[in-house]
Amino acid sequence: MAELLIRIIDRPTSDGSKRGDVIAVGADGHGWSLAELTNPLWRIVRVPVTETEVAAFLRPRLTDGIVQRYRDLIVDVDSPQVPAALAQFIADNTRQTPVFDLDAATIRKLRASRV
Amino acid sequence: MPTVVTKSIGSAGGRDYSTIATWFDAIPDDIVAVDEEHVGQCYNDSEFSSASNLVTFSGVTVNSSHDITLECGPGQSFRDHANKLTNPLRYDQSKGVGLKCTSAGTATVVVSQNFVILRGLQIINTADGPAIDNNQAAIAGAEVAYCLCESSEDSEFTAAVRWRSGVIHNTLVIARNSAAGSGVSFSFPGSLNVYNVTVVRPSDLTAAHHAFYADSGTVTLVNCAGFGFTNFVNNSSHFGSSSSNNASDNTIGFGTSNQASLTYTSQFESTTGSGDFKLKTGSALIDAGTASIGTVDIVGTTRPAGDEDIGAWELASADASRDDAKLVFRAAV
Repeated sequence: MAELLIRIIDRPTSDGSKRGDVIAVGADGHGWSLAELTNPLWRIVRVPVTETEVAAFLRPRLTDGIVQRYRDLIVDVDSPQVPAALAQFIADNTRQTPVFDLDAATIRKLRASRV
Repeated sequence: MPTVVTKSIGSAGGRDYSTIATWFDAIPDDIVAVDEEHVGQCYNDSEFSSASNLVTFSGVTVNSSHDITLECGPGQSFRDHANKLTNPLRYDQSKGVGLKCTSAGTATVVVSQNFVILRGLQIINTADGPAIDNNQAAIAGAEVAYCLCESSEDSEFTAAVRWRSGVIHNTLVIARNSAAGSGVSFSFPGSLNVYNVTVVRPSDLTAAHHAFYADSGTVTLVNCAGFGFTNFVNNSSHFGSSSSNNASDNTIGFGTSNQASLTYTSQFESTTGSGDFKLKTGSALIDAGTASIGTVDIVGTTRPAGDEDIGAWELASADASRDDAKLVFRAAV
């Protein structure tokens, strides 16, 4: 199991973090701080896959060592394949539900290359 | 005056952030506009470890008076350890905050924007990737200071640490790939100054590549040491004539007042295995440096003006005994 902290608001710079970027990965039950659990910039999803598998989300896209995109892969939270419950979770800026459980098939389906 | 916003980072309850990446991601988009400087202070609650890149500094608007510093909280650095003068000088998270990446093909820390300062950190990449990667051409305000870096990167160009622009000083870099890889690379630098940096490959590994690598431009090396590589630098013409007081077990074809072709094992406490890259008594690097940036070494030992040692470490005991001897002599006179 792994927990993914996902950004949902774009930074304005081209090489800044964007909606759908995974900012951090923790093990199941990771001790997120209060700011990490409440900042409306982020959402946390728990997925039944290994930390190693989701670690690929953390890599920047580099050209000759220079960041082109903050992350190469994203969780496409705007995909038509996003389940309604997840869409509702993402839309809730109050973050009433701290962590959302997502199945392995869906997280793999939502994995996409940053355009 | 900008407001300094300091946040704690660590895995223990009560920290502001549990990861370095979330701390950086929470920094406002434009800290010039909001008139802030940001300081992230790491606490050694546990090792900061990732199977991928640990943090990427990119995409925040900064300037020279609105910068971003990643350092250790009070008492949390290897520089603060009670036995810092006797601890082996190498990565050891039990002695202070440590940042670790365990995956090949990515750097532990990527710096891709200006005015980022890394200070007092231990940073390791246990796989084939650099500990720090900065390949931006024009970020003269970026700085690595008082850090201890290790990597198993095998590239001649990317190296254990790539630091293309800005300043790097009072830092130890250990290249641990068994067969290849440079120590510090300044790929395509413009003009770069490097002071009191020690770069080593343990002597029981195969010597390979270069302690310092540059493709072009002018790098000024002062008080730097490079041991255990095939060459001190890849091409002397890329290292400025104002370079001086460098040391190596290889020849040094540029600059002045160098200590070249030294016996590697005579310079450091231990050069094999994990190693201990503190200078040892009798080293030719002692007092062979010149005045440069900063007044203290990698662990905070004061460098005596005019008697600086070459490299990241200042051998305090030797200076103390020498100074004591001078006092005795003066008293006798």
